[in-house]
Amino acid sequence: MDYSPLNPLVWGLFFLFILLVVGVERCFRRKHPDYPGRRR
Amino acid sequence: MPASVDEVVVRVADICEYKWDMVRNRPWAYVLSGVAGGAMVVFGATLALAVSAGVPENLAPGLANLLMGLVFMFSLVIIMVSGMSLVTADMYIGVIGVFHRRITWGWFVWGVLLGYVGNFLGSMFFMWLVSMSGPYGAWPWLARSHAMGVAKLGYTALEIFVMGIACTWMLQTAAILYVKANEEVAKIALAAYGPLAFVAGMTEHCIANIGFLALPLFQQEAYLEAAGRMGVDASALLHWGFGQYGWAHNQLYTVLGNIVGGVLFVGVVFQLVSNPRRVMERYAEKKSFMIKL
Repeated sequence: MDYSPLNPLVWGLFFLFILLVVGVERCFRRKHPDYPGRRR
Repeated sequence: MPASVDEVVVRVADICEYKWDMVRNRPWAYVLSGVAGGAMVVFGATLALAVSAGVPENLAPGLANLLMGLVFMFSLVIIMVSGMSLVTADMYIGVIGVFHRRITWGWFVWGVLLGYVGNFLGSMFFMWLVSMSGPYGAWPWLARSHAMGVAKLGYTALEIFVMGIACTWMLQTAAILYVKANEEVAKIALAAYGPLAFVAGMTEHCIANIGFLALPLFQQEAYLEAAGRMGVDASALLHWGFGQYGWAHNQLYTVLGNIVGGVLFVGVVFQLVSNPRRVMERYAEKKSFMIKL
């Protein structure tokens, strides 16, 4: 598995990273609803 | 005095506004700025190869790495000063832009993808040109290029992934400090630190690796011929695909590591360290919402 394009450890860590970053952003928004922004 | 962290995240969000305005309205211009940025990265890689060939390892094992870092370090400076795009520097900009609601996650992914395509084309094309040159087709450079390829393409998925994280953690720290600094000389010094650190630190950078690891593949036939003449063992053969000594194997896990390093350890960290109340005060005073790098 060390040279496979589907290494389970690395892909698992990467999906955890996505969940973590999106989760942190959602929590931040909920905690600071007045936080500025200029979404189009 | 450099700007505070609160001021920096607002500046970065304004830079995000400028870059993603280009992604939305002039995507081909954004890709073209990526082509220029990708080529600028491998200007540094070419210089690194030029100075590190033939350095005896028994002299000092890290000496070649130091020489490579010293000539590579102005790559990020010329990208930042010229305003061209480097996807690994844009990742932290995009994620701070998401926190500031300048862009959505969908636009973030699209911008990173377009930046990667541009950087890929620039990096690959420049190194293809170099592969046809006389000086880099001569023995010490052929051998150094092949040896670098064997070393980097021989690492396992996890080994590449962790060094990909380390790379953009260092590089994007330098890139955000470039924005934080106010004086020109400080900006140049901080931007130079990034490539120096990631090259001398033997980390993995996806755009540098596109061209740097393609070069020994472009030149493999010439290398084998020269190695045969000189009686050098050339048993490790490089290839474009996945698997050990595969270019795609290194590129895949380098990209994944680079995304984690820049987004999580630079973009998210700086955003969370900034004080939301002070950031909101800065927004209340703002009139312009766009900064060109």
